Amino acid sequence: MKCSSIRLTDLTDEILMIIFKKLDNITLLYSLSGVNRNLNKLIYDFMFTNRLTLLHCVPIRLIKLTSLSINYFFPLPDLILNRFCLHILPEIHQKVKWLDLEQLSMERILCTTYYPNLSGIGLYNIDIERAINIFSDLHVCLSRFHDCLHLLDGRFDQLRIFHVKIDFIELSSLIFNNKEKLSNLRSFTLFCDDTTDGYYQLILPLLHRMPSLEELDLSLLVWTDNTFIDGNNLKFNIIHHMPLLKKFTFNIHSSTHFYNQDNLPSNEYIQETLKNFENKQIISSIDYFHENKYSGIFNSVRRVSLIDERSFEHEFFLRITQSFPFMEKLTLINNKRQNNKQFRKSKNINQDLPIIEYPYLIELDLSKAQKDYYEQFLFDTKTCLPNDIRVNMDYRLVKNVTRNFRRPTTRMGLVEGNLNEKYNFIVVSLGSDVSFFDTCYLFQ
Amino acid sequence: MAGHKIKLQSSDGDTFDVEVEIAKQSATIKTMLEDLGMDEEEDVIPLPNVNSAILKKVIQWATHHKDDPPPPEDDENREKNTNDISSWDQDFLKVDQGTLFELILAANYLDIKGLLDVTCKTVANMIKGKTPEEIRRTFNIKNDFTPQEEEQIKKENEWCEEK
Repeated sequence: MKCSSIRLTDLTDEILMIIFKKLDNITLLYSLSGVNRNLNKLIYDFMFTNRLTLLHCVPIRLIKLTSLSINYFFPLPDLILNRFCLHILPEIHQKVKWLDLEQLSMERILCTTYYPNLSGIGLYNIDIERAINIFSDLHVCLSRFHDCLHLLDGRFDQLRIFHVKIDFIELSSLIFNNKEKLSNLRSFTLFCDDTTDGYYQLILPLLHRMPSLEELDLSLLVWTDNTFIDGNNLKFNIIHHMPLLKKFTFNIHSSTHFYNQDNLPSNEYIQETLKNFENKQIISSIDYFHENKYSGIFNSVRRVSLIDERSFEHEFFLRITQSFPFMEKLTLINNKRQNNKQFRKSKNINQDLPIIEYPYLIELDLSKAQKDYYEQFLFDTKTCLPNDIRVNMDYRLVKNVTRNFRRPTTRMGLVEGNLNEKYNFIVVSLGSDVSFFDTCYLFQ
Repeated sequence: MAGHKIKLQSSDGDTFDVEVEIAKQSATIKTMLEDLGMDEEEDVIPLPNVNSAILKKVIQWATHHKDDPPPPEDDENREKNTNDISSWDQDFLKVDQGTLFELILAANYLDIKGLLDVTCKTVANMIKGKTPEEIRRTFNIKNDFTPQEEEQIKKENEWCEEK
């Protein structure tokens, strides 16, 4: 029989995948990672990288005569372990969702790189004390505040250092009402770059569960119905609850409609409340924005939050774009209907409004805005948004405003297939045609 | 119908008489027979993607396995085991790499699940335990990473070693 010249690399990707599926992920990655570009592309597929069993399992019956069906777990041979720790894990760390580990190699594997999407670890033959030591220092990124409360529900009661970045801190997280003290926690960092109204109901109760804290770092955007979060507030609500606190770093931006221009505290007053802090320097500043009273152009402002109990009219948004010409993120919190819109409707005034442009906007949050503001931003007769912008909206409102995503003056025409009634909020990438709807995020 | 035969024609024109029940191990041929109603012994089924030497091997394999139970459905969660190749199949697959890959292509085209399974397992066993350099040598694969990419990998390794 004549020899054929076909080689492994001549096989189609489909056939190569059939071959690769015959091997366990560790064997496959060990042998084929770094061989050539196409093989790398195939073996770094989620299917082969999402779950890694980085241990060697030997049934006890292979070692001694027994009918027991238990297993011994050993570390992988050094050659394989080295290759994973030095080359493969740093390449695929973002894809790993689950790790199965054993005692001797666990620490090395966990410290080799970071695993931002890791959702679970299987631990085999683990000495509990050793595991507790390893999981005493946790750095995580979470979507919701209640994920944080879950982690702090006692399952990691030996946690000493906890650094967390949370996407949203919302009052709905109140359903978890943990009160257990986190007595071993020494260092806590909380970072959230989305405005939260949960400072008093969520964040402070969590901090009050940390009596042994020595280091605290807070970076928050807080919306409050009350006074600003000044030095007195921090002393009374936080520092006095932490007798061992040695270092407190904070960057807190509080917004409120509690004040008017006449009773607004001065920056000197805020500095006064911070006078007894041991930190070397604390910077504070206060701005007062009112629909009718402020003016000026702020070229360096990128994030704008508009929060009021009075309505925002079309003309107001026009002035906002003029005052903040480079705005990239706009958050709107307002429950009042637009007055001028009602007026125009009742008088049947068909006045042409100037179309407002937001040339640099990349994120718009309407999730806490009244329905009129959906029309304000989604109607192309009122607003011109750039392509590929992320918009956070309430599903029911956007469905209503866009007449079930079919209204011609809105830019939501073809997104409906990606949405579902069960979701309360949607985030879509808006575009001028359907090709921009390829990114659609749904939040329950 | 036992003993009933059909003709299979290879890409290079050779014709093979094969019992229908043996040929039907190929889902592709089975579908052709059912869809086209080809049941006359004179009817010839052309197989333009399989040459004569490989078709002969495929018929040999199918004849040996004609009484095998149908292979189980694919199950991603089934324990991966490549050590269950029968000794007859091991001997049958003692061929050069090119022939092995041609058998895989033929099994895939003819949709013969058992043959595809055993040939792919054989290649998987050839991969098992080898380092990337040994893989390149075994399968004659060119390293197509650029020197910059190689350097990047090296740097990543240094970073890991420092840690």
